[in-house]
Amino acid sequence: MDFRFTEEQELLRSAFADFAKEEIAPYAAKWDEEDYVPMGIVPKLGEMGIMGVFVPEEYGGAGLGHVERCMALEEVARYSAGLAMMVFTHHLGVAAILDYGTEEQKQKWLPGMCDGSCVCGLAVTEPGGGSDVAGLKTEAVLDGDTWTINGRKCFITNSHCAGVTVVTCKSGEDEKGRAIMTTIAIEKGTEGFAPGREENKLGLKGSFTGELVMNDVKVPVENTVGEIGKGMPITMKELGEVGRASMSAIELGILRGCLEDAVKFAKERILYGKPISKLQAIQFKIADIRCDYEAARLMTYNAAAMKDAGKVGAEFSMAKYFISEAAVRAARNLSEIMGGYGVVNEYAAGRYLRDAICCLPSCGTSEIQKMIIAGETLKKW
Amino acid sequence: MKIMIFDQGHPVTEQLLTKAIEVFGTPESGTCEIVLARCIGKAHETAADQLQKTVAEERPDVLLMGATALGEEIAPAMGIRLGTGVAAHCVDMELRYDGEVVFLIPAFGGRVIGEIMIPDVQPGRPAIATVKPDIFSADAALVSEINENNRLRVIDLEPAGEHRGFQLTGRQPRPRAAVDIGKAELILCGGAGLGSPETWQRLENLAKALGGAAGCTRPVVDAGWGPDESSMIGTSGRSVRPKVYIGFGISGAAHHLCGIKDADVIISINKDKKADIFNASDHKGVFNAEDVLSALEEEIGL
Amino acid sequence: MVILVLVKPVPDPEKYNEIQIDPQTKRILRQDAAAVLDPASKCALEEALRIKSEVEAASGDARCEVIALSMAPQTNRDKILECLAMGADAGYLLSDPAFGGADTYATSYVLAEGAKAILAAEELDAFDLIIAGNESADGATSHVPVQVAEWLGLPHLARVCELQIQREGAEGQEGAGGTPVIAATKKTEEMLLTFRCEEPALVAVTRDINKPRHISAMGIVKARKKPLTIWTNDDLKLDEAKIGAAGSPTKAGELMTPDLSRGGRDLTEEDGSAADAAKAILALLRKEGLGA
Repeated sequence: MDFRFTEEQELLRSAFADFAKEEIAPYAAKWDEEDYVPMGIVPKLGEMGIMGVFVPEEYGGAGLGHVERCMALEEVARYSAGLAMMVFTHHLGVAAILDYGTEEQKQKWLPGMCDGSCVCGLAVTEPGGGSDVAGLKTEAVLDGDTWTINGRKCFITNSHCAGVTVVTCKSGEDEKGRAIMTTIAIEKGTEGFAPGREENKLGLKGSFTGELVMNDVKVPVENTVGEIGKGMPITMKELGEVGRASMSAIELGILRGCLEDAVKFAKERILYGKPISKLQAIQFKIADIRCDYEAARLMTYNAAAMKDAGKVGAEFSMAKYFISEAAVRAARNLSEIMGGYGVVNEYAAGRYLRDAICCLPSCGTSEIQKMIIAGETLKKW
Repeated sequence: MKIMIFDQGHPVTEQLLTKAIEVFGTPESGTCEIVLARCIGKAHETAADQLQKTVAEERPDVLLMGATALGEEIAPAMGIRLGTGVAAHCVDMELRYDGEVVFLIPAFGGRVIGEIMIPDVQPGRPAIATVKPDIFSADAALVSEINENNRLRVIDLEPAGEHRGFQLTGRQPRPRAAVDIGKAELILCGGAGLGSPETWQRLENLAKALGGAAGCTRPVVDAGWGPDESSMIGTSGRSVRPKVYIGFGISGAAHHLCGIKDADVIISINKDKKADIFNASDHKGVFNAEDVLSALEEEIGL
Repeated sequence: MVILVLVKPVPDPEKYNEIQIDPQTKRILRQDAAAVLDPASKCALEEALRIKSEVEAASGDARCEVIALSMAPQTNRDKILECLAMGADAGYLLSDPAFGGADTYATSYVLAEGAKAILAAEELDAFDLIIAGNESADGATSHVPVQVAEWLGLPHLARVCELQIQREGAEGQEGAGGTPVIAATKKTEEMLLTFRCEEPALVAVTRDINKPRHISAMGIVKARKKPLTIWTNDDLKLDEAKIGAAGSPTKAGELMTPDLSRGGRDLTEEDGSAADAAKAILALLRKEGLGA
């Protein structure tokens, strides 16, 4: 078993890392402080191949896999987890269109999504519940060739900038009264469809998180993504496989930031006449951050590699659960290593902590993950 | 020992002459003969061919030249044509007791200095060395004494033959800084730590008000704040020897430290108390560069 | 049109401040610092790729091939891959323990022979242009480009800050070849000199000539299909006396890190202000007979 990247993957990783260091690192603190969404960087992300890293070349993508996709998210998130949220949500929508869209839809939307001229979104959560996906209320009624959609979504990343949003709607009920879902793509500017309030978040600043309001939105049936009625498995699959792997990669980026900053600070900070890296208490914290990072790295890329190989399991849930908790732990450890400096906004430690906490509810809370993990474990072991 | 110096009409010639006499001895002492191969103006175009001929006739043991734009092309070309080694950008040279010449050259941006020997020297296949301008200083009295007493043989290289290859189609003077840092007794130097072109402008004005010159590091040039490489101090830029150097927001990368090591007094201001430049300074202040700039401006009423 | 670009892997320049010399062996204490493509080499490649885009955009039939060449240990294969990912069409790495320990004389000899071997392998008569970086971050001698040109009998121009290829007789004519004419601007201490060359030549470019592009994921995928050839001395069959340390007229002696420490006395008291520092500075200037 060789757990290292190939020569080509290593080259890709360093290309993403160089890009992040030059185009993201110098501005991340400012974006966080001003809650500014850097839309200007999106075409550059397109040029780098980050927006469409897993989309086949024929549609303008790089034609690589989810390992490479996670690499891109890790490198972006190392400096700006907020920007990484924009990218991963974009990937969610792109994946839905790629996996389930018609050829016409792919030809129409994917090239723009790969070159950065069109940011994509996936809208599931509603004021009525996020974990309770089956209980969602946004309604889509089909009349002839047209869907009419009514409802509200909230906590939607890319709400205010997505050119195309894949929206999970309730399109009917089965004989037992349970909701049947359909995923439908709505383009920005469609009458009745608009972003609503924008949330002021604790962390993950640098991406839009807001409401989407649908008021008698009419879209052609050609905008249906996948089969009518299959919205639930489509949504669950994308959230489960693409979403959770993404969150793992983003939290991995935060973890790496914590590790690098912890080592740097410990070596430079002099107390009692020597660097604090000589003190065991500090060393123990650094050892913990390191182990969390190494484990996170293996879990993330293992899950991504499994998806590339076409295998599916609870690995994504396990990765997301473990790594999201580990990122919060590591950020806290870093903050404590830095003492007073850990709570001063001139340093990134506070941002890492806020970002890590904000990652917890995304793509399923830790409790949801544990239910999935337990379910699979009890079945297979 | 016969030393030939390629004189391209640049002040570095006097610097090389001074150093050559220091290392190899004066012409009177009988230990060495110094010959100047002078190449001015149009002769630059065919310098390589002419110099090759002159070396074949004069058969020197050592060939020295300034690492100017011209020298940097002539010296390595001579190396190949004469089948000999070239020591580039020497910061020093020594004549060892066994007659071997040792050149000291910088590497890794000046972080490391290494010895270079060229063992297989024969008359006509000289050891070649280049030296950047202002690494050595010229002894003006010595140089004029030698010139007055004709103690130096000068061979003029004439433009000759058809010159293939690159044909000169135009020349334009480069915009120069108001005060050249090469001659300034006081240099204020600013790096990326100044933060903005406006602050750089303030440093330039302050330097002028104090009767000095403004120097910079590469990031300032790359950012387009105004100065070009003629104001850039470092191993890939200029070496300076002012009475006083004051660095504002300079961290002290090895290549910059090499450029300022001959200053009499080095003063540094940087907000990072671990900046490398502090150890290489006579006086240091852990302050925000802009704060000290403002304070100086106020003190002198700027 | 065919452009050859000479590229060089160097230890990461960001780490030079940390280099230490072993006091016993007087050699550099090897760190794990990974090698990177020398920044000036990247500018040389970027310039070649820029010319390639211009030439191919100007006329539908026009083709400009960019070939990267380096002499380095095989562990630097990924640097050639990087060149291909940036946009080069083919890459060659000359790699053999016998090439090691070479100074600029022997290095330029091997590169020149490599260039000739590429011409033979690709069935070309000559390169229209060879581009190299003017000064590498580690050695910074600026010798190799000029010396390669000398070995190959080509005109050379260094410290080039601007480069254009003009194609004679190509204006408005589809598919009309025309000999490429090199127009270059050289920076000297005082002047900007413009030159023109109507035959194949070598130019060494300065780092301010352009800003090298980022490598993209698409570029890396495209690189898979591009030829990357590694040649040892078994392929080049060069005389061992002319290569590596054996073929180097310069010999390296001891290394040292210069001691530039001066002590660094504080300008002010511990709680001094910027104003105190300013006063102290002006006092020092007055002592040296300087200042307003």
